[in-house]
Amino acid sequence: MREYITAFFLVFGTLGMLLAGLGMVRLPDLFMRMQATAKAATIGLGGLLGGAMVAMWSRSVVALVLLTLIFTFAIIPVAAQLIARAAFRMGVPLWERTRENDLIRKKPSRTRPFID
Amino acid sequence: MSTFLWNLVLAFLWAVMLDDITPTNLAIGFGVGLLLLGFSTSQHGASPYAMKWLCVGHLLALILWNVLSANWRLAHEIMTPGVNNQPAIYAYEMEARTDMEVTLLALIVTFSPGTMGLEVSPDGRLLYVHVMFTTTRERFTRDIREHVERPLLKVLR
Repeated sequence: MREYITAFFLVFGTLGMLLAGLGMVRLPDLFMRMQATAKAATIGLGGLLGGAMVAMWSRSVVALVLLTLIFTFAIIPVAAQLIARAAFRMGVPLWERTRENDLIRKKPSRTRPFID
Repeated sequence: MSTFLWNLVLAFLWAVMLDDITPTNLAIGFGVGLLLLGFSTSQHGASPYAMKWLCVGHLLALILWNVLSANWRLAHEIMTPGVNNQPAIYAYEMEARTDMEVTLLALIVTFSPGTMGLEVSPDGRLLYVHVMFTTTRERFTRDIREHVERPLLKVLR
């Protein structure tokens, strides 16, 4: 029984990671790609760690997995948001079919350009 | 908050009286203390402490459901040929005020389907959100307000 649960979690997590990779290739602009990586990587990592937790069912492993999950769930959105915001400030173009844009492109606050 | 401390004290007392301080006993003691504190209230109606825990459970279930449905819709978008949605960047007027509330709101928004927090305006009133799936501004605002922000604020306030 435990093997089947482990296998389910591992396949689930691997599919999530595959989704993140495919999204990276197939989506048109950086912001949609960041969304794909942030969401699918979260669920992929969750599945893989869950599989590891079920396979090695002991107290220390469960504690470690739960800690890792909490930290990654806190870190992944922050990283995605910071990368997207930096890209926006640098002037990475949005996809041409983006309908509305409330965030007016501001000039970068520093005087030196980002890329020399 | 002080009720939560009482709950911890009750959990510790339970484990000490069983003469065996293990995580299992502490957890059982915490549950028993939660029941006690949830049912003992001086006012009419549900005790605020029990309602707080219900709100926390509701928020966690909502986040889990959001992560799953976000990935399902994303998989559908990626696996079907072409990109059939028109993304947009909307400004969302937050009810959250303190730094803690704004941070957690931006974090949870990134987990919900098709949305990603981009930037907070300098006065801390607007959250700029990149929306991936086609919606209207009103529907987007209503979705975020009712399914993300209100449950979060119920937990924090």
